[in-house]
Amino acid sequence: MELRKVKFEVLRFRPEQDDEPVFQTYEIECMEDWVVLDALNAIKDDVDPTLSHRWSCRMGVCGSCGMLVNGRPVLTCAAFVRNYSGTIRVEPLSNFPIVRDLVVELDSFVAKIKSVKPWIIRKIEKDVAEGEYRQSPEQLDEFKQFSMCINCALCYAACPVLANEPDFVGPAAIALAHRYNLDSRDEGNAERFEVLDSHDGVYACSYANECSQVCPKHVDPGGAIQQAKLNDFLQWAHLLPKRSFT
Amino acid sequence: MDAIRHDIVLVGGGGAGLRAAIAAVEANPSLSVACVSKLYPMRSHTVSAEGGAAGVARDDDNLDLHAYDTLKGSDFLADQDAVEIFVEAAPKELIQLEHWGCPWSREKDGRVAVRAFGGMSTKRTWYATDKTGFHMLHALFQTSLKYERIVRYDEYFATKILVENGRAAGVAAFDIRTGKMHAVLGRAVILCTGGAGRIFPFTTNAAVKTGDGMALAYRAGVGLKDMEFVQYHPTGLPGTGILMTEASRGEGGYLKNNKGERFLVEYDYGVGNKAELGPRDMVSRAEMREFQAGRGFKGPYGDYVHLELMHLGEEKIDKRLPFVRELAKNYVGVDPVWAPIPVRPVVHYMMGGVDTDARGATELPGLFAAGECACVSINGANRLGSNSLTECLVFGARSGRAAAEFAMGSSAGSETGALEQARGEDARLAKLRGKHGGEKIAQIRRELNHATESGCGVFREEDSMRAALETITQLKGRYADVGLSDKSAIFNTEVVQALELGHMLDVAEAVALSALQRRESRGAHTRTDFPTRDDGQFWKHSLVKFAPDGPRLSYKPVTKTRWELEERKY
Amino acid sequence: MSAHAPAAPKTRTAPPRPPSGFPLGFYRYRNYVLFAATSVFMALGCFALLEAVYALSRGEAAWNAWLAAMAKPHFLVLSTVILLFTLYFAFRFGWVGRKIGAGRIGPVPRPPLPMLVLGVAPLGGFVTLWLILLAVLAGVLR
Repeated sequence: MELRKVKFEVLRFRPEQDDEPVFQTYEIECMEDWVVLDALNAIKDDVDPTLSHRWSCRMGVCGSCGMLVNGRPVLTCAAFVRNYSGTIRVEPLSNFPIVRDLVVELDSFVAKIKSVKPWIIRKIEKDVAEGEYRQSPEQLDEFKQFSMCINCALCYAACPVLANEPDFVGPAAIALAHRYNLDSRDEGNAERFEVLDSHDGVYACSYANECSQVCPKHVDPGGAIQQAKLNDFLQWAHLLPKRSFT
Repeated sequence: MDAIRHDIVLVGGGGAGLRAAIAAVEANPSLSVACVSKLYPMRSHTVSAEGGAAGVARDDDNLDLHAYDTLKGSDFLADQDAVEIFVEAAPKELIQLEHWGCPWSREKDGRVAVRAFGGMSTKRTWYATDKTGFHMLHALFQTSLKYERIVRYDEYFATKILVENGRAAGVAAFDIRTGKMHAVLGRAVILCTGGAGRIFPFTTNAAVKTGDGMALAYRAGVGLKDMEFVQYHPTGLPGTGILMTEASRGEGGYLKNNKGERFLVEYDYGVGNKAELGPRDMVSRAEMREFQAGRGFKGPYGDYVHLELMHLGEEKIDKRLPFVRELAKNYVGVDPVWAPIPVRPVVHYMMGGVDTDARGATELPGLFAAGECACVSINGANRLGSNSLTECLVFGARSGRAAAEFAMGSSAGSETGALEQARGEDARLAKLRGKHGGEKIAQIRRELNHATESGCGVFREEDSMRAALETITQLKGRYADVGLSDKSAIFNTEVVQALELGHMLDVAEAVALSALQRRESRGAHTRTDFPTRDDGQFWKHSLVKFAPDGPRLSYKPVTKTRWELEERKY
Repeated sequence: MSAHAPAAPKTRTAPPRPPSGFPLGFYRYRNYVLFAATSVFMALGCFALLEAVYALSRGEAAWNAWLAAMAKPHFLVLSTVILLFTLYFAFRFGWVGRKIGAGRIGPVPRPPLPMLVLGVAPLGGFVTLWLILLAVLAGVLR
């Protein structure tokens, strides 16, 4: 297995000692199948244990390790070192306040997810003894793509709207709301209408589509937002009942 | 000392934890539940589970059969009363999750679909393509957001169970963001912190699986049961250990050696005509024996065999195993539609854990545990695939309800002892940050991994286990001299790693000790020096308890209800 | 204070950094800025159309005078630029807008045809009118 010395320029921020973020360079010997996360762990383990970063599953499903690598929002556990040449720049996600080094404050993100009421809302709930709600594979396919979001917030880091309008509810939250609106078991699109219709809702999106470009799970939140805009208009014009299936 | 007061304190926000939280507030909506997790809940390791969750679903299936399969899979070490409770609750929990929005894969008629899985007599594994854990966890997390009485403390690390008047009174936990220690007080505590795969070097487990809750309970005097039983999953990627779900075999995949033989069919490894769908311990052993016989492929990360999916066809793979395809392409550069995936056994699950009964209660009043960190035991010496996700739901719910009942039946007593202990933890944490010392965290961790791998691997024998135990004891001594560089209080992940390492050392010690003393082979614990099962001497659960001069090992009886012990043949 | 942010940050944070390469450093953000800039030119175009309508309403002399004024080279260039920007807007709007083609929205099987027409008509109309005007200005028509 080949080894290659790679320079990493990592943004540091230690609130107790740094006035503002500053870059620090490390040189790490990387194996040929390493991802950027492996290098960050090598830095932390053997070079500079004061580097703070989030990670967990290292297989692209937990959403912890989102960062900017050479300016682009990626999951560092899926960003292969061999695909980069020269010095690799690693920074925390854009559009979020920086807590420490590569760790950003995600409270607003979690709050936005909660604000769209991402749970099954029904007038009458079935008893467990009555078995499952019937849902055909076609009905499942209608929303399945939008249920694949791992909450990594790369879409929020990429969105140019969020840079200027930090209260925009955002791609992942809208995609999640849309996932539930499309789920044949849900009856709650009226409950989600207010958040989606608000000033910071779907209409704040101005078609950058950067969210869909960076999404590592191909959720296409940009598509969800455009569909949600049409959905919102139809609901507003009373052309769509404010309930979906029973 | 900053005290946070709730009725129930939950540590861990994964499948079991979130299910317990919801069960508790549904049992009594006036109760408030603190959910203390070192991660945002949707990052918990439940999210990586792929294959499915077992529960009787079809007409050709019945509870007794699921119970028998589970019992046999456990090599008859599971407690039969708990298994009976488990299989009965299983379908109800899975339906409940469906009502909460979990996107189970469906049959054409709209009913939930089930697939075949290792060691199961019939199809009963509910699945959501091949990201079942992900969908389950997100359904649970999103549903938990409905309940205002579930209050989350995200990225809070629990360092000690607070005990007052012989009862669990809460946990000491610090906010990783600010570094500030809090006494999170409650009338019941539930541990749902998962397993400890990271004590081994090659594991499917995420970074966070460091056995925190197990160590916390152990240090509070509660026993760790059946710790010697560590499950090796037969199909992990070499090097990274990333999981290739058992569902790939459930959907018809083959395992082949370097001669192109389906070795589970060609040679007698005890799996009978189940072949690739034999129980995990047997398939892992078969692979290791193939390596020993020189029939494995050689690679930079050790020997491996081939997992072949090509004959399933692109359509089936994309429909049932899309995540497997994505992972294989990304991490080993193999497209399973056209080429075989390299796989080898990697550590995956701990059958052992905090000793609980079937309600999740431990011997410490007010302390409960559920999920992988607990041992009821329904998995005994070897767990069947797809029983674990269901286990999280069934025992998460049961412990949530039991904790709610306990909390309602007890009154909030004095807090002085608990607060004092929390202050002690604050001091301990402050001393640990930037501590001077000659040892390094990463180095001790590496040596720990080496010890567990060499002593507590798939095949074990006396001398190497003894050596491993000695090494671990030495490492614990060296850990006291560990040196840290990061003095910051704000989001200091080095001190988190140091605390996790301490937990891992305790857990590894329990594993090595109970493995050494179990002089038989049963389930996942295979000894070359004692190759057969010995029901006369060892049909019992091991129990490791903390003592100041070193862990104490004892044994507990196994509960039998309706099934007689048998030879485990498939 | 925003509805979604915590009451006060628990520790001192560094301010959010804007997306890397925004606005002109990264090709996709450049395209997006161009897309946003089309609004300026389309506004100019609408203003010119209004002027044309007003001139028409005042009779042939006024119309011819307006045409003569618009036929100056720099106005022709401006008109072409406006058309190009409008076409770019229409292309990109359609490209992103095609994602609207969901199989179902609520119980409604597809966006009803009148709704789609209503959405597409203004844009299509604007482009058509502008093409006609440009053709007139260039002397191709009347």
